[in-house]
Amino acid sequence: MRAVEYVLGPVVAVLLAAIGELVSAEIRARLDRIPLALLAMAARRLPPEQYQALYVGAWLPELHHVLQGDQATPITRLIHGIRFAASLWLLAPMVGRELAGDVRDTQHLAYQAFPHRTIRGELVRTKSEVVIANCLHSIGLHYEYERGLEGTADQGRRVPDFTIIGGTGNVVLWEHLGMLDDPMYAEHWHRKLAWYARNGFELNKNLFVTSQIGSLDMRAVETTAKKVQKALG
Amino acid sequence: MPVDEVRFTTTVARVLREFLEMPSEPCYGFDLMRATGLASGTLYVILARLERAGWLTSEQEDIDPVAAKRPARRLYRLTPDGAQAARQELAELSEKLRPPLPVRSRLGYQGEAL
Repeated sequence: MRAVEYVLGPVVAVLLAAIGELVSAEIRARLDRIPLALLAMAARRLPPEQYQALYVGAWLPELHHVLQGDQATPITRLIHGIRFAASLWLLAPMVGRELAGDVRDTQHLAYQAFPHRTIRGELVRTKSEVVIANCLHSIGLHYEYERGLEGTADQGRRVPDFTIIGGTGNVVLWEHLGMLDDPMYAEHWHRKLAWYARNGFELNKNLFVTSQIGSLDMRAVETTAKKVQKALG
Repeated sequence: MPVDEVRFTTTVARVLREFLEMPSEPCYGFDLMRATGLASGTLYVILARLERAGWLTSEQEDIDPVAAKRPARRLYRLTPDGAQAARQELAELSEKLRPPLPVRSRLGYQGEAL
């Protein structure tokens, strides 16, 4: 009997430690949503033309740094994250007004966040998006890059990478996921996917996804473009 | 290129003071918040104002987000004209805020004689 206890004791201890670690990771992930949600609310208070440059280009990367930086212990990062996002929520309209004073500078900011130009001429964020945009263009599909999408079932707004519009006005979305190995990015994507589902966008029906970890697979891009074309009818 | 005039407050001065510590080095928003003790909202209002007036420029960090496993952050940097204007404004503000001399010193030699 005692021998069994000697064997089971350490096993149970290891199991409990592992469960504790899992619970801790779960709590951390859920707590991180609070400042992210606050920051998303702040972004909604910005003029639409400044959304990308300020929220996506400046604020979100800073919050990411706060939440995932080397010195980010759980409580500290939560407090710093909430303070960062809450203050921006309060003053976002004022930041917008300051920038709106000069259109040239807004364009300059946008250029910094979207440094790559497609064949069709618009600026996009990554080289992979250039490839996708050019691929859609080459097969004659009309797309819009990062066009805001208002929810029909849910309140709120999401920004798909590409919105492809068919001849009859039907819409297909294409999301390219470049950082799925980042847990925060993956978590954000799963929530976005759920939002799409609630608002009538179904995977491989009117929502298509490509992903990359490291290099981009051009064959996957071409296959997806053909699926998009077929879905549009 | 000459810079536009900026409404110069003590919070603007705190931000510019931080930039002038190393004028050629770019700064991140969160690092500026910590160094100046300003809240993020206040800081980004000031950064927007300074950038619009040509005192600052900003650029996206040159990293591969996939390799770095994080999004590129925005970096802010003083322009040469902005640095010159900032030094001048800070010197003027410092002069204005300098405590008055004690009465005896202000009276000088005449005061000693009384």
